Amino acid sequence: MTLDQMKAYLQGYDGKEINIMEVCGSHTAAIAKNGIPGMLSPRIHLLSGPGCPVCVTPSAYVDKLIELADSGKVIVTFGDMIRIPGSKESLSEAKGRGIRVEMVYSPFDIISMAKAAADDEFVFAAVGFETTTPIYALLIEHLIKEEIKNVKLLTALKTMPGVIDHVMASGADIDGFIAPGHVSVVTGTGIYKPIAEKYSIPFGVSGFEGEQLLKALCGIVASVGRGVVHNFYHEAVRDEGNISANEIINRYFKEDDAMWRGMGIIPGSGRYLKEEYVSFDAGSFGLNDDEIKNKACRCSEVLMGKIKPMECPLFKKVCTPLSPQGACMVSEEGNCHSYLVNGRDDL
Amino acid sequence: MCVALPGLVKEVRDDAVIVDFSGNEVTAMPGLVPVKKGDRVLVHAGCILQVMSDKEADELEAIFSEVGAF
Repeated sequence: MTLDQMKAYLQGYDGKEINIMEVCGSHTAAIAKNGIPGMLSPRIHLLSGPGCPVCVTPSAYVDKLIELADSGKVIVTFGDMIRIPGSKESLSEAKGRGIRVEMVYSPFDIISMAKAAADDEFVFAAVGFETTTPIYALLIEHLIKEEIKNVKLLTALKTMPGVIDHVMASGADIDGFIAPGHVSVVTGTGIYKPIAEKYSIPFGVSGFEGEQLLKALCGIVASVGRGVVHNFYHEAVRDEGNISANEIINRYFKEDDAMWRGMGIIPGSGRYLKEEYVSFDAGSFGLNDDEIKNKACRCSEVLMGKIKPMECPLFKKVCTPLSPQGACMVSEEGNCHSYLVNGRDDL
Repeated sequence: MCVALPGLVKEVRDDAVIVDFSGNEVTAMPGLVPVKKGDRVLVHAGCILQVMSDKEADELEAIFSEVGAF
């Protein structure tokens, strides 16, 4: 099927009104960047989902990082995390009063930092989904092998199937999902099948190029009403996933319940270091408090696909990338941030 | 945050892999999948997550044929 044929199919669709959720924050950004909403029939609506890891990390986690920093530890993190609001302040705000926060490109950067400052204690803010979890497992393996004792992880690791099921069970009006591509690289495609069958909804695993997204959308639209999983990202996603990555995840991590910002505790949707490796944990258990900085913030409904960002009363008024009131306005992959900076108004 | 980018393996060392991203050479960690020089790989957070394949599939054609669209 050619690109023109795909565009013609999606533009000319005249069936029932359908809602398709892109779960992944990177897909949200790619959809905006490629102008996908403008290529769709007015009867096809795109919703952004809960797939931005920092957006779903509760305030208690940010508070714990700040508490650790206040006790003298060096917090090492990806850049997305530093402006996520805690109950009182973000890491960025706390850095302004002197705590030590270092931003890195890779978790492995912490190894050279720890070796160079053996008297300091380092904590990596290990936030992420299935894509990033094997990298933290590999980091633990290196810490053990190299006998590095001054590094711990504060984990907020989450998995996709539980939250997708949670979104559907909460009554969201969704007819199909663009499944997260890089999560699927690790997990494989099988994790979506039980949910697809339970709710009779199609999943399309997609890459991040415009044409790949259009292809996935065509497949999803053509499959509405059927509990099927299609893989449109064959070049990177195998049906069985990355077996080595899953083995190393299971060596160091166990599943347990996890708190999702604005959504509550979702059973079995988190990963934590196993008991035998808990010496590498900086206190990740029980970080369940979830205080919203601005009570009018509707991030939770945005993440669940119940409203679009511009339906929140704070959007673009008091909540902007320079002054984020909720987590979705912070990261480039956050739903509200993406809608605002890309001028999406596809209500 | 789940961003991963494809690059080309230029060199495999004992504990690091040199990956070329359109002319920029970056050191990435191996360990999650076997790699060799010339592989096109997907790199996430400084680590090689998967070797890309050249597999093309006609999944969409099959779906449309199945549902009788087009």
